[in-house]
This record gives sequence, structure tokens and C-alpha cells, in this order.
Amino acid sequence: MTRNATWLLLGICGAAAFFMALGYQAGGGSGIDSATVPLILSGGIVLISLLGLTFKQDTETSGIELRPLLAISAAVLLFILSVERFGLIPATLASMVAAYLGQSERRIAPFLVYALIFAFAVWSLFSMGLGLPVKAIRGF
Amino acid sequence: MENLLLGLSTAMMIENLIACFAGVFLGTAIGVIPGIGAMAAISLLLPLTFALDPLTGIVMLAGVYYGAEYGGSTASILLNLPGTPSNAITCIDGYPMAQQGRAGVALFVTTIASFVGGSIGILVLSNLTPLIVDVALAFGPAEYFALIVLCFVAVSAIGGADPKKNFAMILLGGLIGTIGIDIYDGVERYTFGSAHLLDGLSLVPVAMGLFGVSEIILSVKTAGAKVRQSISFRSMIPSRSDWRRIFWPMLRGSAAGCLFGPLPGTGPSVAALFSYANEKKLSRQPERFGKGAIEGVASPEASNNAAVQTAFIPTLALGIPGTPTMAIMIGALMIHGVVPGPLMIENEPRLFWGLVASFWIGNLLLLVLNIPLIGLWVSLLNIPYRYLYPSIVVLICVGSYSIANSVQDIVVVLLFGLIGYVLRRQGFMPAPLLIGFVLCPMLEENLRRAMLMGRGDISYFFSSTISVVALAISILLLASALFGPLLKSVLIRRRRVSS
Repeated sequence: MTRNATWLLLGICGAAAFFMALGYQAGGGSGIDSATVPLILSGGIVLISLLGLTFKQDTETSGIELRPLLAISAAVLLFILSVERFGLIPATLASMVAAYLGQSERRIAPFLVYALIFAFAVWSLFSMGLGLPVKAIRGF
Repeated sequence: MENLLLGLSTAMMIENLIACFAGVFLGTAIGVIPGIGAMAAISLLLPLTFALDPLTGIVMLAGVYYGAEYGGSTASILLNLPGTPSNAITCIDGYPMAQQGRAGVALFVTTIASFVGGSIGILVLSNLTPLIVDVALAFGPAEYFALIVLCFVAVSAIGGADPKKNFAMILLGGLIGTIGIDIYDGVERYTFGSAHLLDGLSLVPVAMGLFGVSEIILSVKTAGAKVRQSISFRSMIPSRSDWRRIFWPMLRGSAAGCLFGPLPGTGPSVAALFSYANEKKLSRQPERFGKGAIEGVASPEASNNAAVQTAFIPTLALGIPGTPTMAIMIGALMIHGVVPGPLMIENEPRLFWGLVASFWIGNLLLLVLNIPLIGLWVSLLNIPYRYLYPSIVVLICVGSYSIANSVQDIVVVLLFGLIGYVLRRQGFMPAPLLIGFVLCPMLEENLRRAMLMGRGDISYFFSSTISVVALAISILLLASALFGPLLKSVLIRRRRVSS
């Protein structure tokens, strides 16, 4: 993604928010209603995006690294999908394995042992210690 | 004195002492891990405080904050990987010292300088805050509005490389802060029909995503770094000439930290940078800097820790955070049902003075714990990062799930993690976004109250000296930050054309 694309995306988001905010006018007292602040903020985003697109300043930018991005996103997503369906320990294990794949080292067996111990520790701390209402393994 | 005694008696209660110890210990342990800063540490550990009494919870989080700031210096010195932005300055001379076999001395000096800076910062905090509170009690919505605007502008103009990007982030954060039902008119804003968004987004998942998840994605590549030397207690003791070299830099650094800490938009990073530059300028041998000068470690560390303590002044006295970490602290106070500001100190002196006294205890704990525990922190750096970061991802997920026992908060974490990562790669800082997110609801509330009190007359904002001065400074700062570089580039172009 180039710097121009980021400013453009920001500008489009600002413009969309501005048009949505036009529908929030409720006619509150003293000229300030639900739309005022969103209109100022979104309008400001559009203006500053235009400034950003027109006048560029040299700041360091770098490309997106797909591997860690996908691995960490998958780890969080797996936790979301599995914590209530399968329980805290399977969710922790799945999430940790997915996150581990974000780097190049491939010694998965010792990591699995560590992940299992860590999953039990997390369950003990949050479920038993702090009373988080989620089962260790669903069905048990 | 009476207030300090009240604070000490509160802070010395066993649960508060345990919380302070746990906060300092966990904060240091997390701060040591490269790439994980104080903001990520606080967001990560915030859910653990939900079950605690408000004071105990805040004492623990404050301990996490200064513990993480201290811990960050360990990775800076040993691996040249700063844990927090302010620790990046410590790398400049700390890492060369480690390469010369003086890592132990650098770590010892860091501990002493952190203690000195922190202690001076606490003295300033405990003496200055009540004075500001006396003035702040007379503040109305116009003054608060003007001060929040000044905070926004200062964060944009001073807080990073490109003011345009910072300002865009503040506006975006503010816009995200307006999501939910408007409590005045009952209008749903940007909820897209989702019941989960009616109350707006919670601070914790937003902060965890922006600072926790995005930092982990960025730091996965540092998984291979390892410490190459062991640290014995004997190797840590500075020589007499080292003590002579660090005495005045520590005091000067502390003074700079006390000056920059309470200013919005500056905080520990700017304070540390200023102190380093100042020491280099004052030194008779400036060529030593960058090659392992011990003053280059002592002064920024003292400054950084003094700024950490004095950053609490506007947060506690006015309820206005000057830095993103303070924004999270304000959010934490609010989650615990405490509204920071002048009334908090008036109505809940036990909480305020208890917190100040806990800072003393925490600072002392940092000193007592960290000199014998330096070996432990070094061994923590030798745990493969490929084992640590998946554990942190899980802790973030469980922590955000525990807020409302709902996976929707983890979805928010993921979304803001991705936003934070992409923004950082494109040179946008997520810190101003969080400041906008926290402060914008306060800005809107004060704007509405001011307009009601002024019966719609905009001149109400210029009815007091404080608001006029704050707004004038804001306009000047904004104009110089946005148009200064443009004017400069136009002038350069004209010169080139004419030549």
C-alpha cells in the first residue's frame, strides 16, 4: 500500500462518515446537536487527507509483511471461533500454534509441550483464579 | 504532611503493597521483552485489575507503567532493542557500553538514575498537583474545552515526525469515540444497527489491538536476538569516576523530566531525547557520546522516569491525559468508577494521596528488586521470543474476553490490531488515535455545556484568560506545524528557481 493510497483511504472514510453524520441532526439546543462533532471531525479528516495527498513530507514508510500479519490474525481469529465452542484450553492451543507459524523456526514438538503447559496455566489463572466463566474443554 | 501520612497509611495496606509489588514486577518483566512497551503492558494487565478495589487496581497499573519503563532499558542496553520509545535513547550509549563489557554498570546506573528521577518526579507531583487543583476548581466547560484542544494540537505538533499524520489520527480517534448512542439526544451514531456498538467501543480492546497486537506483528521478526554476556553483581558496581560523571547529569535529567512530563504531547520520550542532547552539548568531550558515555545512559533514564511520574499531574489534577499511556490510565480509573480531575482530589483524598505514596513505595521496590534481579531479567531475554509472543497473543485474547465475557471484544482487538499495524507501516502513529478516542467525548461534552452556558454565543469561549491563552497557543502551534513545512518547501522551490 503506498502512502497516497493510505491518505486516499482515510479521505474516503472521512467523506463517508461526513455524509452519514448529516443524518444525525436532531436540532439540539444552542446550535450543537448529535451531528456537530462528527461533522467537524470527519470534515477535518477529509481536509487533512487532501493536504496529505497534495503536500508530501518525507517520513519513513515500509511494506506490509504478510507472514506475521496472517499468522497473528489467524491466531486471534481461531481464539474467537473456538473459545466458546471448544473451551479455553483448545482455543489457547490453536491460537498459539497459529501464532508460532508467523516465524521461520520449525521445531513444533517442544513448542506444543510448552503451549499445553501454558494453556493449563491460563485456565488456572483466569477460570479458577479470576472466575472467568469459560470451561477448560467443552463437554468435560 | 497530613495528606502524605494519610496516603502512606493507605499505600502500606497489605493488599496495596502486594498490588504495587505485582505491578512493578510484572511491568518490568513485560517491559524487558523487546518491542512490548508500557502501553501494551498496561492494556495487557488491565483486565487483571477488574476484580480489585479501585485504588489497589490503579496502584498496580501505575507499578506496571514505571516498571515497564524501567524494564525497557534492559533490552536497550543488552540487545540494542528498545522496549519503549523513550528507551531508544538509552540504546545510543547503553549498547556500546555492553559491547565494551560494561553492561552490568550500565544496568546498575539505569536503576539508580530511574530511582533518582522517579523520586524527584514524585516530589514535584505531590507538591504541584494540589496547587493546580486549587486553580482547576474554578475551571468551567470553556476552559476545559480550550485545554483539550491544546492537548490535541500539542500531541499533533510535537508528538511525532509528521503533524498532518498525527492530526489525522487524532480526528480519526475522535470519530471512533463518537460511535454509540449520543447521551444528550439519543441519536445512534455509526452503530450500523449493531446492538454491541450502542454503548460505543471500550478502551481496553481498542488499546490492546492498537498497541498489543500491532506491536507483536511488528516484533515477530526480532525472534532470534540473544544476550551474549552474563552479569555478576561485582561487574555492576560503577567506579568512583563513573559516580562523578553521572551525579549532575542525573539531576539535570530529572529536572528536564519534571518539565516535560506534565506537558501534553511530550512525555518521557521527548524528555529523554532533550536530556541526552543537553548532556552532549554540556559535555567537554561530546565525541564520547554514542560510544558508551555513561552520562548518556544516566541522564535520559532519570529524565524518562521523572517524566513518567509528573505526567500524572494533568491526568490527576485536570482529568486530561497528555500522553497515550495516561489516556489508558484515565480509562482504567473510569472503569473502576473514579472520575479523575480536581474533584477527585477534593472528594477522595485517600485515593489520590494513597496513589502518590504508592509511587514512593513502587520506586523503592524498583531499586530493591531490580539490582538483585538483573540476572533474572537477563535470563528472561534468553527465552526464545518465538515462545513468548504466542503466549502474549493468548493473554491479549483472554484479557479482552474477560472484560464482558464476549468474543465481540476480541473482534475489536483484531480489527484495531490490523488498523494499528497498517498505520504504523505507513508512518502513522496509533498513539494520537488513542488520545483522540479518549478525549473526544470529553471535548464534545464540554463544547455542549459551554454553548448552553453561553446561550449559543461563541464568544463565551473567549471569556476567560485561561481559555483565550490555551486557544491562542493552539492556533499558533497548529499553524506552525501544518503550514511551517509547506512554507519552507515553497521558499526552497522559489530560491531554486531564482538561482
